[in-house]
Amino acid sequence: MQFNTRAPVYLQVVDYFKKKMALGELKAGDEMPSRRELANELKINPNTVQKAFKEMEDQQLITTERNRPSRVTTDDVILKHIRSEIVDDAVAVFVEAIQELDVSVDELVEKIKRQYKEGMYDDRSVGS
Amino acid sequence: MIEVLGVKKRYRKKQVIEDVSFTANKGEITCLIGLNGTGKSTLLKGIMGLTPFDKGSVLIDGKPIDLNRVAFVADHAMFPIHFTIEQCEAFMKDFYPTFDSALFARLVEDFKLFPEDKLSELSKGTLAKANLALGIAQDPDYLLLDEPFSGIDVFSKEQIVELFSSEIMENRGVLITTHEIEDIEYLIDKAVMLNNGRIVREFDVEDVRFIHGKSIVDVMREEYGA
Amino acid sequence: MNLLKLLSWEVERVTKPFLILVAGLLVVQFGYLGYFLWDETQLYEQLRRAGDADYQMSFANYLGGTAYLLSLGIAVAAMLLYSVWIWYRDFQGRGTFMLRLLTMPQKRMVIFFAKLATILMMTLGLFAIEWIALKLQYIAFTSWFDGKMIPMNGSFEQALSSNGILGMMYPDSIVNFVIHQLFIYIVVLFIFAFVLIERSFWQRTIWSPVLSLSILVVILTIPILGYAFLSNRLIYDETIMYVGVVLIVWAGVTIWLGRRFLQTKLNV
Repeated sequence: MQFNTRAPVYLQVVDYFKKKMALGELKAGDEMPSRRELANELKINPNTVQKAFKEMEDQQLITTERNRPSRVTTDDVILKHIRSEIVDDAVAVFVEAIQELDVSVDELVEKIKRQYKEGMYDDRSVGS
Repeated sequence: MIEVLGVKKRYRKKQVIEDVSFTANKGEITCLIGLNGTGKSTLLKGIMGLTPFDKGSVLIDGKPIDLNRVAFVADHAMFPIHFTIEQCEAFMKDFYPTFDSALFARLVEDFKLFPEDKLSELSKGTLAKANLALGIAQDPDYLLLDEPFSGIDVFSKEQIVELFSSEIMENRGVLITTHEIEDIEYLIDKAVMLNNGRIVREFDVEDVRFIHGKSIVDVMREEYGA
Repeated sequence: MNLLKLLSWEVERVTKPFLILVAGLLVVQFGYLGYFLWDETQLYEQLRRAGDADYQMSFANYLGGTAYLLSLGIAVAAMLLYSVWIWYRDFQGRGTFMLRLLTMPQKRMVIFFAKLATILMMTLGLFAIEWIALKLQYIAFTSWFDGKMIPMNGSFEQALSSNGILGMMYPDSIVNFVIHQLFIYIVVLFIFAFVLIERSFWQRTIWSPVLSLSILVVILTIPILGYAFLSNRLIYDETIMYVGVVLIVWAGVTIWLGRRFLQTKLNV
């Protein structure tokens, strides 16, 4: 996983998991990797991972019982919400970039449809 | 917590360290950042009592330094270079009551060191790992590392970074000096920036990312104008 | 306990240079002995042919030979140099052992006394080895000239006591031996204090050895000047007392200086 040096790493870790949940790589009730494993795997500070887990708990994305590994929430509403949130975020970034080019909505939709058909952006391995 | 309080050190007419104060917490990785020759190593050696400060004091958890609880890892060998890694270990066992042989054996394995190798035969990266292993096996509460990443190969760097995010380092306070932050950006909790013997910035790196959207390198660029 | 452990590490490190020194010493001395015996026999034959039968061999002649004295001088110089080097080597090189020694959770004076004991063991070792070597040389000397039926005079002890250096190294009373040993320790202590003061200058320049040396010269000369002033006024017993006190003060001051600089001032 490649981090952006200018954004808080713990939020990037949260986003990383949100994406996994949205894509169904992590399903409701799945066990989360241990904090230690994750720090080691991502080569980041264990305190940062701790902070990311805390954030995910606050956002009710995961639940942690004492002395047990954390699990993905079983709350469907929240999981669905993640998906739309991620898509909204991505669209927001996209729209901001495209607005500078002064393209009409119709033209844009047309272009998107065509490119989707060509399969250029149909690659689902978005996560990195 | 390591507390450095108003320390000063002169060299000839130059004030190498001018009234420096900062803290480094237990369970966190604090990084002393500065260009070469800004007094980082002097500061670390001063904390260890290897180059006494002219003024100021150092407290570890509120008390003067206890060498059973604080380990120092220099950027070069701390043993005669004709010693083998095994001999270094034997020496450490003799004089460090806290030396943990099992932990050392584990580090030797993780780092793929050969105990019968002489220090003089090791590459810079391997020597850095051997030094680090000897330091960590002292099982200290605080670990002071002088430029552990400087001039070593990519793979050794990676192994060391991995070690820092492992449970072996849990609950230890780490103070690292470096002039190249790139490899450990995501590893550190707190940055203390030195310039011309003064502290110019002291900040929580996640806070700076969160509040200002800046990376450590951005802040360095501002401070050092590089 | 830690002192003994550190001492054993120090001893291990000096074993090789020490054995080289001993080997060099023995090679020079026995080599010279061989040459001496051959040369003197030639000379004796010549004299006998000339009819001068008065000539007598003495072990003292051999001990007074340049090569023999030179071998002792080299051993003394080597030991003095090693007293300096035993510290400096730990500050030098790619492996700065002093960093380790000073960051060990031990009293720093343990390092001081381990190094002191190492040097003392080396000198005592040299004294013992040289004593045995001398005995062997004496046996070789007498049996050679006996075999040649060449007359000799003087005993082993006489030969030793008539030699300036050996007379001091192996005096005839144990008390004198102890006093002479103490002199050696004080020389070593001065060297240690010198190194530790010099290594404590953070701003190391060409002047730092000069400065450290001057501090020690002052400590060294005050009692000597005092002695020059008092010598005519003191009777024999008082002189002995004076020398004893000065030696103790010197030892005390140098250890105190070494301790002070080692514990609070040393810069690595």
